[in-house]
Amino acid sequence: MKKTALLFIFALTAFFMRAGMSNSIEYGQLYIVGEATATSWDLGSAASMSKIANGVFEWTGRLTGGKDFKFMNTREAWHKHIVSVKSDVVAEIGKTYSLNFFANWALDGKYDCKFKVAETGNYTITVDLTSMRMSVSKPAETIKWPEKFYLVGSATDNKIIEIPDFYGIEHKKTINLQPGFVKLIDTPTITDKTRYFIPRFPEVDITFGKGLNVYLYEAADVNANGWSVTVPGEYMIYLDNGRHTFTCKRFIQYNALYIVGGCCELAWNYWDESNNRFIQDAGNPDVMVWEGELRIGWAGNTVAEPSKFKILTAQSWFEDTYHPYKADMPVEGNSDARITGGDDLKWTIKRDGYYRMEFNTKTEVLKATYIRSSDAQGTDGSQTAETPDVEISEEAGPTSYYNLQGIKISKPQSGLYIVNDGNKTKNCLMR
Amino acid sequence: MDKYNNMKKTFNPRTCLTGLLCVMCVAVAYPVIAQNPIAKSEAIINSGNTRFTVLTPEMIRIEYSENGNFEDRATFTIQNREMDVVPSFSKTEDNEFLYIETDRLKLKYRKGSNPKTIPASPDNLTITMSHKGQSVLWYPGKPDPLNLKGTCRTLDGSNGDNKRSELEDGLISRSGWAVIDDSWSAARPDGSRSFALEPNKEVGFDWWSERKDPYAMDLYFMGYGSDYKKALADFTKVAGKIPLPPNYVFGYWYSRYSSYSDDDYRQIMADIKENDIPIDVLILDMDWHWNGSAGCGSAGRGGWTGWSWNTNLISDPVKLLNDIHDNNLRLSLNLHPADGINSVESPQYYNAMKSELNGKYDKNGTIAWSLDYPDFTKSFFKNIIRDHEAEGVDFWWLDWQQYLTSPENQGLGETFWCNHVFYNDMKTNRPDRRPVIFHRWGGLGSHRYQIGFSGDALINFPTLAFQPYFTATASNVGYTYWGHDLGGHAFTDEKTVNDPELVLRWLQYGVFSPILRSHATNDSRIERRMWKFSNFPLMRDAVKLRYALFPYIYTMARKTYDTGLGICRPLYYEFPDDEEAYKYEGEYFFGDNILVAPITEPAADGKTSQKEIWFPRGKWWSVTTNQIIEGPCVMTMNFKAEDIPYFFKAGAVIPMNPSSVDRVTAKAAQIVLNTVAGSEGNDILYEDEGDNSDYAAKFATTELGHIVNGNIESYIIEPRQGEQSNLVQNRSWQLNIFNACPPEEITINGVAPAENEWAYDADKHCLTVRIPETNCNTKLEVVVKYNMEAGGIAGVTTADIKVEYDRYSDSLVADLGQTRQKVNLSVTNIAGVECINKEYSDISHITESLAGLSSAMYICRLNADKEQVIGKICK
Repeated sequence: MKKTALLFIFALTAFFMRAGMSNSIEYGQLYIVGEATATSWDLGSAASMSKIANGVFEWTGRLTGGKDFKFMNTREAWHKHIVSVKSDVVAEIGKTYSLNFFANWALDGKYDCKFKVAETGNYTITVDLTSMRMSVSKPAETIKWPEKFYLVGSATDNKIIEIPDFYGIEHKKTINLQPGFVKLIDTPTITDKTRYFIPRFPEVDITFGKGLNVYLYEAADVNANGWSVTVPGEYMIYLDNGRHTFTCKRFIQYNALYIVGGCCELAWNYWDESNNRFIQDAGNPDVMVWEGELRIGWAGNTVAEPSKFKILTAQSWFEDTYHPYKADMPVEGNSDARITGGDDLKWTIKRDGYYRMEFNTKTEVLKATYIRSSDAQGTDGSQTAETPDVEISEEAGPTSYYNLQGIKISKPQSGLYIVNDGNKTKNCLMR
Repeated sequence: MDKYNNMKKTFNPRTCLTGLLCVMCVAVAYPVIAQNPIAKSEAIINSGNTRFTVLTPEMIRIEYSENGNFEDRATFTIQNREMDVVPSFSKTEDNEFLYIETDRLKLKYRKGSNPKTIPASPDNLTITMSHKGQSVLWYPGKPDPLNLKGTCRTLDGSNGDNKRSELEDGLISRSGWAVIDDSWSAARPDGSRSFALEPNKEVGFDWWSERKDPYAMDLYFMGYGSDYKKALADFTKVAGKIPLPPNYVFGYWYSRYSSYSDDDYRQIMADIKENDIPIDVLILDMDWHWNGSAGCGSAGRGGWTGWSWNTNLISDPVKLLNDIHDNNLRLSLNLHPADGINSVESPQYYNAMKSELNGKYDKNGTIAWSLDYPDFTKSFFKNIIRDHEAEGVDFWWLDWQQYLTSPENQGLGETFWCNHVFYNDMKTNRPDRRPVIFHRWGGLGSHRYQIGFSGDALINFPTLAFQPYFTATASNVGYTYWGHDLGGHAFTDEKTVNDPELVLRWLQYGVFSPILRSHATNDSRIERRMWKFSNFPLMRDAVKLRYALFPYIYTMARKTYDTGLGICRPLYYEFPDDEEAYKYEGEYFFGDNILVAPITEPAADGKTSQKEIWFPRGKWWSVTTNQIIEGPCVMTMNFKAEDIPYFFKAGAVIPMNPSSVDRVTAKAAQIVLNTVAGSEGNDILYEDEGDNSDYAAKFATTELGHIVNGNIESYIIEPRQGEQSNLVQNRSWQLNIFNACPPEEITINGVAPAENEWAYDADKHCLTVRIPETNCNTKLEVVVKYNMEAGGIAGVTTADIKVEYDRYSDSLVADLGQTRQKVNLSVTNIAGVECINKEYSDISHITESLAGLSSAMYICRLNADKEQVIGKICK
């Protein structure tokens, strides 16, 4: 039995050694474990600490006084230990402590030094693996999430810009920023009651936090600078009403988007881009366009969600994806899209046929137009798109209408037309 | 003419030439910096358990040790802290804070505190600086999402840009600051640490050692703003230079993982010769040794790791290696050392080492891989490596793919340590040649151990498209000599596996990459013998272009050694304030003077590839399309299969080989100089013996100048300077002047050349002047008076072509942006029926009546010289 156990350990060791990271500390994850925690020494269910920066993790929770805790760099095995440099350390609020890392399958007890807290209570533990230190603090008070958000600072030329709410799920807006600083406030004008919200890391670049949970902190000093903006340009700001997190990224036009779903000919196949790829609109690079046929269940397709689709930003499940805000959102017409996660919601089609999708990546609005019925199905034979597109100004000058075959039409009836008003060419739906 | 008249007003030949020579002198007179890890005392400020060292006006070392135990030895990252000059700085303090101020940085430290708080905050230490007119605040631990990144250990598994997220932080940032965290506690992405280095007599070079205080903070703050080039130059001052590899590595490498026999290798060499393919390096992948495979006649002997020749495949290794050398090739063997030295695979080596080490490290018939220790290392190199080197191995391809840090010494990185030991062993024990290894990135400091083997990328266009960005970005940590598996390593899609277009485009990119090495995995479905492809002539042309470029490449490699700037460089080094320099990441500078925008997508129509290219400020000669382009502008250009989009910077003088050169190690008796008329500049041609280890001081340079004075231009080749005893003593020159008018008068050192010594190609706007063989110590000056009225100079491309429908004249109107030589207009209706097809010449504006066409939508295709525009108009 002992031999079997040894063989098993050897095999496991060999597996992890082959896996390449067997002896190395990893900055991707950290877990708090020990009798002082709610899950005690059950490593498999040890609490995951939140990554707040490269190699820096934080956890807020209840620790039982007088009981041990330490950290593990993996939840898969008792292998990568992060422990105190001294034994019997009673951690106190406001202090920092040095840590050791051991990659050892059978760590000697003299190195396996744990921490304790003197009194049971809620604590915030911050571990910085880059400097191998831990700090203990009182949990910060949770901020009261405002109903409205505004951005202000030198980067907005001190203009106060509202970040509108979308469906109660998030606030978001694409904003042009110049080099300088910005912070969030909760009032449309600055008053004595205005609350100021800033990042945890003072003057960190506004794009910091990709892949992390970035929380807001209420500024005690109204003159705090908030976030810094170094690169001028358009930024997309998101404030998650559920998780109370802040995300910001530079707006960059996509070269391609991909439609995938049960109603697509290639279903959920994103890697074959023969007919799932949106391309940039020649007239407006913010807009990505796809035209093609969608059906509620293609012949021979037995895929799940036969009437649904979503939009990928890359040929991967692991990059950002666009979803509607509401489950099974009917696609025809205009609908807002969400890129910030949440449930895996989809758009739905109500009828087979050819569609034109125009996705504005700056406003995150999907405009879907039903063009005509599916040849194979002939669902309803309609040639009429049902969604208004653009209004043609009477002042725009002589206007020419073309059908989708490019033929000029002198008296357009209802339907989708290409319209040239002397200045611009646009799509237009005539009712 | 206005341009030239304007220049006349400000031109002073004497001032210009003096300035030119001054610049050249500065350019070649790089000091060899002594490496001393102990900083000058006057650069150091102590404050309790914190120590500051002012290294440059932009770089301050910040240490904190609870027991005041500071590190004064070299580390894996840092080699030198004794800078030539201690920058001026002031130190003041009050009761609470210490203040240090340099010309660029203001540091404020709360006395008695640990500078880094947990979590990070500006409470205890800040540095403020000005960047782009803004005040920037830094404190230890401040995150920086604007870091411009560096590189990663390997491209194993690279598919599209999936490796982007693995790129480590680099030494420059759009934030204006970056930090080298040299603390032992700060793990590198592979989990390894920066140990100290100490001289070791047993092996003859520096050996790893525990840091004095493994818990100490050891940061180098680099606040260089947008002066990325100075940041990288200063980095190599403290971290060691990027060595100059031997010349042969810049030639073509034939490499392939396959169970080749000695006859197979001989056949490959014969085929290469027969097909007139230039080549300098032949790689023998892992099947040279016993690999345990029955198919290789190796059943039961060896495996992934091996040290002894598989004599069932290669019966007489020494004879094979001699044959390879007789073909003027250098060679390398692949090693996967992790499994140690096995008694069955290599009984001779095993017994020798076991005896020498008295059984130490031996477990069950295998001497465990123990490069952590000097005794193992000494015995291993003495018994195995020296033996193969005596057989003829020129350098080693390390291919570590196992555990990343040592199982026995926590945090000792296997990749870094293999690099350090193999490189320094060669440097120490093979002084007759220049040290070089072929291995992966092991973290900061790996730039001292060139060159890089990027590993197993997938065979597809998106993976190719990532490599220009990846390679140029690696220069942000000095790791500038990545050698990729050109053509890709393995495939997941059978459509791409031997796609001639993909292999060609990959090779063409390789021409303008650090190392031109084709490779693939051991899969009989993958072909890497270029002569087997239908488009082989184009592939060979690409390789020949590489050989033509060699003098320029080698000169730039020397500049890399001297300046810390890699050979493939992101555009933002030169244009940090231009957003496009960050956006067009598929473009890069290949050395100082060539802009490259490789084709990395398949041609939509199978023939012509469209590429949107950003041209920075200045003028650029498009070598492929023979046009001068004035930036800043964005152009969409068309390229045929044989075309590589590369552009000479106007003002540069680019030295190249004649097309006949088929070995970079050959000492060419002719140099071709390429320059662009109308733009002044200067450059150098660098030469040395090619594989000498004393190249730091033993080299020669030839200054090349180009002076413009109205319609008279002078092209100057100065006498060669420096050590030149083993260099060619006499050579001829060919001067190619692009964008030139027909000449009115030419002189070479005041004498008109014979008729057959110059030619003017009107199609290419190129004047060629041949200078007969001359001693390299002779100054040469070619003076050309141009006939500006002959109108030969190509128009400057400055704007895009615009096509519109003018409803009032009922005409198609096209603005061509400049005078175009040949223009074709094709108008088709929506059904694809061509309604108009017209040719024009020497025209800048087209007005074409559409009165004969009905009201409808039309597609207009306009080919103007080599540009194409497709537009839609509504009548």
